[in-house]
Amino acid sequence: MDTMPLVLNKLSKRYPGADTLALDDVSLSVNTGEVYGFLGANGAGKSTTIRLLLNFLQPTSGSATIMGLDIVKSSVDVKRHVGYLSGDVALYPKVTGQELLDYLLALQGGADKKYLGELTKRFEAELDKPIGALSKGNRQKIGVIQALMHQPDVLILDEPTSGLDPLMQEVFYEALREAKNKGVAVLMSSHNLDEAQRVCDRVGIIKHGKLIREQAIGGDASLSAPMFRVSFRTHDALVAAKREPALRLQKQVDSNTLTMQPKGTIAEALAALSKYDIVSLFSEQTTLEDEFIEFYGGKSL
Amino acid sequence: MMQTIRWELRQRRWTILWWVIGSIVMTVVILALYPSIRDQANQLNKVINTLPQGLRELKTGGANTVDVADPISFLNSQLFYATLPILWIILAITRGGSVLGRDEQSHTLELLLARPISRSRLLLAKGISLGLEFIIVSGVTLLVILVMAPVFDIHVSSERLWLTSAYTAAFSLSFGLIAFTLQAASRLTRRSAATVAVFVGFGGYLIASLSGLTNWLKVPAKFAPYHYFAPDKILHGQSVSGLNLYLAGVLIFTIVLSYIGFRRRDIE
Repeated sequence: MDTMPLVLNKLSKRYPGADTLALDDVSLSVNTGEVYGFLGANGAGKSTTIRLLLNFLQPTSGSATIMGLDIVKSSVDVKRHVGYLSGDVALYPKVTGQELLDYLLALQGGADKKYLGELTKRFEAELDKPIGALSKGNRQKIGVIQALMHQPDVLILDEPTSGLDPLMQEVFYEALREAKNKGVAVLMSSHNLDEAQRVCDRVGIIKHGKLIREQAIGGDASLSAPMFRVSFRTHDALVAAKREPALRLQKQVDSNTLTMQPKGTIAEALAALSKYDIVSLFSEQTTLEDEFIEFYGGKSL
Repeated sequence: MMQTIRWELRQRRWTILWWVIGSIVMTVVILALYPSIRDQANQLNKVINTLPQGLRELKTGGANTVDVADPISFLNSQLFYATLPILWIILAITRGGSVLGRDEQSHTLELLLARPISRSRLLLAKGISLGLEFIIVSGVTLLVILVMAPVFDIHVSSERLWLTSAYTAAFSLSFGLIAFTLQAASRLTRRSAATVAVFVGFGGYLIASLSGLTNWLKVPAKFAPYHYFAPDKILHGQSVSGLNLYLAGVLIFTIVLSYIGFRRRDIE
């Protein structure tokens, strides 16, 4: 039995009638107490992955386990351990938030109502009004609460802060931190790269159904390496600097300016640059957006 | 499962009430017509029995002649053959197609399937809630028929009235089950599923009723469920083996197909 709370093993999905795979041999795992950010452009395969994990879709090949349970064979048991928030949260508009949460809690098989009360208070959710009369943000709060209320071992969240105001986003991040500290494994898709960089321990970038990059946040990998923005006196200097083995070219800004990252240590990179006539040199932190844009060939989210 | 059934019925309580009121009003109005129709039976029978056979059968099913003064003939032609089933088929098909379909279309189905409830149990709960809704509407209507029929001088045994109402309800519900199954088992939208069920139900009604007009409709009529629906026979205490076979077939077909199809298909 897998000890990781969430494991995908070469999971693939081809929709009926489609020529290409919507998800192509994706393997990843999320550890206890880890927040894994799932990033990609629209249609990249994020929601397909999430919907496969919840067994809303049947995999074409491959497998996945949640808390060691197969997502297809043991889908009912899997859901005892999972809290799920869909991308565009759909709720019953005619009932009140309280009625809906009571119903979902009953379907879940009961849970600590005290914790539900705490969540309601923290998110300042309006549970006494019909859901249809609530704003998108207030509906999203109910969506977030229903995902968290039974204190699951694994959280699968599709764009969880969409529609939440900045204040409520902070409340959500706090709740996420608490869940993480309790050992909850979180798989979270997001369009908000700042958010992913802030709350995730690791991110995976998905493109055309393939997981093309996994990246630890805050480790010693490229996200913590600085980015140099260097303006050379002449274009010839720029051309020569591009070939320096100690530097990795990120982007040519104009005929005399480059952004570069050290391949090795910062000292080696600066030593290499010192050979050239440089007009200015700025150092900035690489962001997840830089990484993302690199993999998406200049296409931002 | 009980939570889902309660939830469904609670969500639908006002709509159910309106359907109950509609069924009652229509039933009482028709029953109330009986004394005046009986008093003018001679003229009315002449008019009805001189209608072309096909046109006459749209109201009466397989009956060759109509005597509206006869309570059984009146109940068959005015209530059980067309009016009540058509009303209830509309309810059954719209509900059958949407009991799961609406949840799927609005993505609230995900909210339910993200809980530890199997698809087959959810399907069963939805199917039961559809059946219960139907039992409420048809049951109350039956009670009204039982109470009001003697008031308007329609004297038919309670047992036969009960049986005819039950068959009429089951027959109407069968089209709802077809819509329900098509939606649950396949990737058909609730509208498409309802359209197919309407075609089977009302198309079958027209084919079965008009088959007396032209010979070439006699063979296709045998495939139309309405061909086997004969409330006049039930009211007369005769057996309706064709109808029994059809109802049993639909029940088995819908249970097996919806169970197999919904268990493993992708949710939209």
